Amino acid sequence: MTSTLTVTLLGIVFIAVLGFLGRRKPTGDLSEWTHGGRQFGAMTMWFLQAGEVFTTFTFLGMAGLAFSGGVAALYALPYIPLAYVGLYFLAPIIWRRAHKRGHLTQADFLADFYGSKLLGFVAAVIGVVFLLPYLQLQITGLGLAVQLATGDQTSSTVSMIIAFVLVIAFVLWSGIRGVATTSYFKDAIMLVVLLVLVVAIPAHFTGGIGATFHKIMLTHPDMLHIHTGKYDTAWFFTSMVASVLGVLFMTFPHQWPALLSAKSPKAVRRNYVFLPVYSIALALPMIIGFTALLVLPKASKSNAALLTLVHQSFPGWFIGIVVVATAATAMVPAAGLLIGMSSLVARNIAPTRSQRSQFMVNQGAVVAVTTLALVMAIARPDLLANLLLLTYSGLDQLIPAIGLALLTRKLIGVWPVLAGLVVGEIVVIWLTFGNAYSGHVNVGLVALVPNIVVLLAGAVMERTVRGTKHGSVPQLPASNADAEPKSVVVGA
Amino acid sequence: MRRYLIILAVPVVALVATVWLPFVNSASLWFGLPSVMVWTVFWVLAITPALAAMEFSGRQRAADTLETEEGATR
Repeated sequence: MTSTLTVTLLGIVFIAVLGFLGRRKPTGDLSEWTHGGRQFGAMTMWFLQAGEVFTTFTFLGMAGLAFSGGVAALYALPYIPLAYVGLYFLAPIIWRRAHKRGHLTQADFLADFYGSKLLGFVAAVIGVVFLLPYLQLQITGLGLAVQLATGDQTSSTVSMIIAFVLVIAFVLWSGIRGVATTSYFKDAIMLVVLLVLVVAIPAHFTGGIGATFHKIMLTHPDMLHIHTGKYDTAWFFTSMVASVLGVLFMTFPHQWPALLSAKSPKAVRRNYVFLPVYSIALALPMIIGFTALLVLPKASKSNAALLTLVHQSFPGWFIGIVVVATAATAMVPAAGLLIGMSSLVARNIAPTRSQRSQFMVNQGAVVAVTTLALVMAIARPDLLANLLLLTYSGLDQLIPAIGLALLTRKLIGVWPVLAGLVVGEIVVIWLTFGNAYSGHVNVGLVALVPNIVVLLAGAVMERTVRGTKHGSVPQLPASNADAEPKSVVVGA
Repeated sequence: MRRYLIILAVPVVALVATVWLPFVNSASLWFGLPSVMVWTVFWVLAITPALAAMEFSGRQRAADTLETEEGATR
């Protein structure tokens, strides 16, 4: 066994041990398992939410995007901080309502507001289906890192299996508390490794960061600005806007456990004040991607750019540490994804009456979902990779439903919202796979247009048929709103 | 509150407008880095003090105190 693989496997086991140590007390309560008893302060929230920002995509994908698209990759830097500006105001509203009404999931929130279990079910199915490829992305990212570092496909497959069996185990054992403890380590190792790489790699290949960009200026000036072509102005602007809206309206189901685990709206707000500073770390792998532009052949695989340069410039043991950092950016976000997905299954897709059976369904879902993603990652990696194209655009179709649910009064009923959502999803699938669209405007934004048109048309029909305004629908009952969490049964 | 919102709007508008500003979106280097990168990083960093100004203003503290008192009396 090489030193790289030894360090990698030890690191993977260490991450899992941290996950196991996160558990405070045995629990059969889904609320405690999913939200840690809603007791997390701003510091823990920081790491949990940072965990969502920095995934394998950050580590490998940002360098790859800079390698293939130059500064167009920078669309990914401001969208999360811009969404945080809005979430500073919206997230406390969500937190307060979810806390009072006992919501555990995004679908709980929607089902309760619209008084429709069906909408909750549909939103949960959309969430699980579109997050599954995102989960697989974390697994294949880890496999890619090991394969590039060791040059061995078998080591890659074995590492994927070991890492994600351990993820299943510590997620089952510790729930969101395990995600929190591993997040501390993940962010620490990732930042240290990125800082080392961003100094050492340009210094090794080009003489430094400044020299890298001066050479880019001379040899690839087009990569320094957004221009016509695949990554043009429309692509940059609409990708950024679609991503801002997706994060702002909490369309990713795995955003919810991290938010709802906060102990107070103040902790929520403080987190959004300081998280933008952390987001600039996204620029670090981009600088490495620019260095790759000068060093690697143009036909190289973009996602392999960072690790290829690492492989060419560092000793085996340090490559192992880089792979451990990559593994952390895969395992920790994957654990967060699993909590988001399994709670959707237990609460909204296959609900049961007792708390115990609900918890059992949840635990079964953790195993089933990870196994499915792992098997697909090994056996049919392309199948889910295609579905990943739908993830962001597909989840963006929840924006109208969630946006309207943030109001205190139900202005539009469930059927127009549901019809708009279904039409939006159909348009996203058609535009993505039907070869019906070749423009550069983000597909998710394009599909939002028919989504909203259908929603508004449905709202007009609804009012015409009923002859009353939906504004008369009562607010969430104050008596229930003051009730203890967990007592509320969502849906009509 | 309005003053804080105006302050907050500055980095938001600057970031959203990045691609439309010719002096930013050009093949040029500022401090040895791509102008788009420097512009984006600067305004992302500016979001934190802009939000902090609002967060640590007396208004938010008063709202938190009121909420804590309401929670205690409930």
